[in-house]
Amino acid sequence: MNYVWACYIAVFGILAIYAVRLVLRSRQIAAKVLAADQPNEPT
Amino acid sequence: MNEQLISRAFGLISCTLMAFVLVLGLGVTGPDVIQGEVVRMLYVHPAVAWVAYVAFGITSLASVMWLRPKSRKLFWDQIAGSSAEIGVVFTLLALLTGAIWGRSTWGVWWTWDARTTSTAMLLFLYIGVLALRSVPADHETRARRSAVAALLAFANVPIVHFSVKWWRTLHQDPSLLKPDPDVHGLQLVTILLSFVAFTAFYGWLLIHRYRIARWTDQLGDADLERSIASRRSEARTVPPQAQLPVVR
Repeated sequence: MNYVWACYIAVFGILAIYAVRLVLRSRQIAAKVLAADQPNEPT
Repeated sequence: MNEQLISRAFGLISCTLMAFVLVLGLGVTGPDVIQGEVVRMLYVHPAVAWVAYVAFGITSLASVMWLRPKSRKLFWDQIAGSSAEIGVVFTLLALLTGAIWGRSTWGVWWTWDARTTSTAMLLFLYIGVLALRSVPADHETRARRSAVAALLAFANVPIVHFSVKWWRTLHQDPSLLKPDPDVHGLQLVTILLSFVAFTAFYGWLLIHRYRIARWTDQLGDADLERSIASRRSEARTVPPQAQLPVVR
């Protein structure tokens, strides 16, 4: 059963980490795109 | 409908399906007469390998769409790159789960078997495609290079799939793709559900990875345009006398 647990932890753990990283990165880049679209403040 | 709403709905559905696979695979289904508890890996390993095939299939399809002059759009290149990256993650998982399964049934973590070796080759080929994508170039050059490389790498997918038939291997023959499958009842339902769940999860990951690719390209273009505009304005403000050294 230890091998089964190792297999499930590997698959679900790695996929969860990868998915969270993608979601956070896409949010971060979306914020950058929004900031770049804003017109510059007059100085 | 809002793009974000679709992605959230897709995420929710795929994560729920994955939770079902987890519960059915570890809790509801019983041990096998021959393989015992190890049979539970059957609900994860084939589905992961299947998604790797799907991901590389989508990469090839998108590469063909980019190479065809009529359908050439940056969108296809971004889809190809995104799908290739996800495919690499799933191939790595297929090798990892295969090694764990191999250790428990064959007694070794790794063997130079036709299936495992060709899968490892597939992983390195697509890592090469991703490396090629990261070489600095304009969008068109990057897309052309990686589309050709991805199509060449895809030639290995049928070799991986049919390796168990073409050569004498330790790896077993397909359990499902035959007239009388080896699995029945709840085992079969769980395996089929795992295929659906992992494919849906791949779809959700692809949406997010594609968004990152699109916005990264958009930001890169905006940065390039800003630097060109700034250099031009610098060139305009410098008086012509200052540009050339005066020789007396």
